[in-house]
Amino acid sequence: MADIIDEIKSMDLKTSWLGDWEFEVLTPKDRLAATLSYLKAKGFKAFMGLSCVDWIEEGNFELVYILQSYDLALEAIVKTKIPRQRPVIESMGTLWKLCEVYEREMHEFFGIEFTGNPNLKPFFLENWLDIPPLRKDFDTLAFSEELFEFKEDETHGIKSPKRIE
Amino acid sequence: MSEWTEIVDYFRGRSMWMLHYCTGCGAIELPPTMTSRWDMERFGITPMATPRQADILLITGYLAIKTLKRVVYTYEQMQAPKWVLGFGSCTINGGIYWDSYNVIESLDKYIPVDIYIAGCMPRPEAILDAFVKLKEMVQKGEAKGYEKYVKNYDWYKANQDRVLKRTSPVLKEIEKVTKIG
Repeated sequence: MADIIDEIKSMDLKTSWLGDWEFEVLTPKDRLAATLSYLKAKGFKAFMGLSCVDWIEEGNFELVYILQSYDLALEAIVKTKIPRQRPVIESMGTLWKLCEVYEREMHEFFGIEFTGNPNLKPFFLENWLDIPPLRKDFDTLAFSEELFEFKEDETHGIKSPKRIE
Repeated sequence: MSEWTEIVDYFRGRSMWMLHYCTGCGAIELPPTMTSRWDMERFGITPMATPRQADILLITGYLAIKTLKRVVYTYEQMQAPKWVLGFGSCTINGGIYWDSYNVIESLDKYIPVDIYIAGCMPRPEAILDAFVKLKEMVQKGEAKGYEKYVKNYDWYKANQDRVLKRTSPVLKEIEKVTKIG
């Protein structure tokens, strides 16, 4: 299993062990598909999940793909960074169909555009019109105060009738 | 109050069927309440499968915007007289989700709540206490949340629409965000 790490290193990608049974691979955006399909061919057939980290200070979103290999008993964590201002990346639905579901979620909660994913409809949120809620610049407290903790007379487009006790 | 109403209220308090809307983690307290350890059927309260046959709507925990819509549907399907129990601190003020973007703060703004059960979680004893209290209130003719809903229908509807039928962003800084394309 150490030879996988050596091979990845020879491909000029940064990689390191995170523990006894997992390692991470840092890959640029344009080599993501190649890295993932290489790992899939090497035995990391199970796609476990996709998550996203908002590095607001450096202006990046970091996408984290988690793969597992049951034969090697190893976990591979593939990370790639995309610019926050223009978060577009290709869909990995051709490698794992399941990935499209995670991409739909990331699209909803971070506003990332996945080219090639046919189904980026709203998923969990209902009638959402604000900026994606898991971005760091979304002020969840201000949103909550504005929408839920309103005073009884205060209205937002809807005229509130007088309450009869 | 006529004598007939008093008699009706007396019997209403002795046979209440409950619909439990298990949105949050509070649902885990209900199986011991229903089954032999605490056995709420002693008080004439039994779980019911459909909203149209139920008298009590028990909201067990936090309500997201999505579930609030379903709760309003369910509440309006129930036939009067009907009573709502708000269970846990989430229904009172949002609980630990007080600053969440997706969880409502106070249930009483959207449907009339007769009794709140405080706690996170309330124990089965607290639930039974609330049932007994509700029973007393019903028998005295005090629990009139459903009448309040009819009288203040416009107020409740306006509050519901404000959350469920938003037409513009809540926060006004949307131009900061870069749109693609």
